[in-house]
Parts: sequence; structure tokens; C-alpha cells
Amino acid sequence: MSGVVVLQAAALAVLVAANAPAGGAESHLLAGAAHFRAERYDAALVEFRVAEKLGEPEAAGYAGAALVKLDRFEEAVETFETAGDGGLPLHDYYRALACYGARLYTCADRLLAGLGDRSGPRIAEQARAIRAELAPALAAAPSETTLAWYRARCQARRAEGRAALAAAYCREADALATRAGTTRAADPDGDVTPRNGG
Amino acid sequence: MRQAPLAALALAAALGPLAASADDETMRAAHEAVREALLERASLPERPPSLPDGDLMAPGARAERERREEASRAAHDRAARHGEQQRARHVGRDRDHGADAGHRSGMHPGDSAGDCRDAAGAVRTREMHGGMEGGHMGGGMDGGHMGGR
Repeated sequence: MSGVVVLQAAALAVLVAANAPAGGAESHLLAGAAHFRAERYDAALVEFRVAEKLGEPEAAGYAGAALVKLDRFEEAVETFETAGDGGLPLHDYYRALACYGARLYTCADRLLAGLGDRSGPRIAEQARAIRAELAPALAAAPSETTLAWYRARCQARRAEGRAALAAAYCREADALATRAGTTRAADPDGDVTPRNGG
Repeated sequence: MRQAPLAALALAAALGPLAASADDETMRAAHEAVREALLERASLPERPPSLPDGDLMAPGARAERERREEASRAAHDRAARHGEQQRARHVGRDRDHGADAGHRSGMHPGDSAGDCRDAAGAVRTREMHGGMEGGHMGGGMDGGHMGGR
């Protein structure tokens, strides 16, 4: 009898000391990692969401990466927006891809510019390649049609109750408008001609 | 024995920092596994950037896309030319075989796939024997092409 009590006490001690139930967030993170590596992004997304609910805030960024891989860019932007700044270069890279996929090009460019070499040589090289591709598109002054598209999307997403995503589109419109103003101001001779009714 | 729960709590208090440390280590390893997976699968965007009113694609970006498309077309053309040359070689060899068509055994007239296989066989045979003998298959290794001898 005394032996049983001692065993129970030991078990209780271990449980209290461990302070966590079996199969906590880490098991979902590991499962999510395995799915992600195997390109089963929908399954990875589920695991990361569960880990997030179990109290791992960083898992929101992982879910955002899975959404990028699933080409669900707007949801990815929302996820990263609400996840806040994780400070991880890899999160910023995937966040930039989310912005890129949602046509938030100034957002993508800003994030990629901030990466520098923090992310390691491979990601840094990829970031440079994406920025090189973005540069000509961002150098041209956007037309009023383009700006109107971003503003309309901002309004539409806001009407849907997706405030974070709406804000991202509004910021993009503002950033493009600023660039347009800068470009036009820098070229008073009018080399940059408005297109598509702009 | 009533002291057992108290002893357990005391033990837990003693083990607590140790277990928490192990727990942290497990969690850290789990995060590391996820980051490695994310790094491994980090790729470039599949599509070039295009502003919402497609005409606005910057000249540089458009030129780059056109360059890619041109490279793709050129690769396709090269592959097509290569295939054409291969076909022409087969036709030439078939003409050589034409005279001995009646000597073929086990080959249906107009079996063009068979002709190609014969031609390929002839090339292999020629390579093995170091050349043609009398304009026909010399070795007789290719079964149906014994004609001419």
C-alpha cells in the first residue's frame, strides 16, 4: 500500500514539475514542420493553428507561411498583420511573399529591404532577386486606375470586416501615391506620362 | 503516509526548474524544426509582379518577361529542330533500306515505327562494326535487314 502511495506521489510530482499536459504545442509544431517539409501545407496549417491556440504566438507566423504556400495570400497578409512583428527574418521573408502575392508590392519591397543578411545567404540572395524584379514596377508612376484599384480593395475588405487586410491595401495605395508624387515631382518635364486614364 | 502529497509537492518544487528547463529545450527544438522546414521550402514567387491595370507593367519588367518567353521559345525551337533532324536521318536510312524491303522478315510494310527501330539498330550495328559494308548492314545482327547479301 505504501508503495502505491509513493508511486502516486512521484507521478504527481512529475506532472506538477512538468507543468504541461502530454501532446502540447510542441508536438503540433513538430507535426507541422514535418507536413511543411513534405509540402503538405494544408495539414501544416492546421497543426500550426492548433499550436497557436495552445499558446505559441510564434506559430501564427508559421501559419502565415503555410498560407503563402497555399497561394492564400490575403489570408496570409491578415495572419502576419495580426501576428505582429515576430522579428524573425524568415517570418519577414514569408510575409514579403504574402504581400507580393496580394500585389502589395511596396509592402513586399520594404520587408525584403529590411532583411539584409540576417536571414542567411540563400534567403538574402532570393530577396535581392525579388527586389530586382520589383524595382522597375515600383519605379514607374502608377496610374490613377492602379491607385483606385487599391483604394477600392481597401474599401471592399473593410466592408467585409477584414480591417487588417483593408489597412494593408490602404497603406499600399498611399505608398504608391507618394511614389507617384515623388516620381512626377522629380521629373517636371513630364517624361512620366499618365496611362490608362491616369 | 499522509505526508506523501506534501512530499510530492516538495519534490515537484525541487524538480520544477529542471523539468521546466527540459520543457523549454523541447519547445526550442520544435521551433527550430519548423524554421528549418520553412527555410528549406522558401522559394521565389512564381509570377512576375503586375500592377492591377496590367498595362502598367514597367518596361524593365516587361522586357525581362519577354526575354524569358523568348528563351523558352528558342528552347522549344531547338528541340523541334533536333526532332526534325532525327526524323530526316531515319527517312534517309529507310530509303537505304527501301531496296531490300522485300527481304525483310517479320516486318510489315509501312510499319514506320519499326523502320525507326531498324534505323536505330543500324546505327548501333554500324558503331559496333566501325562502318557500313557495301552500303548495307554488314553484320547481320539486326535480323530483318539481312538483305543485300
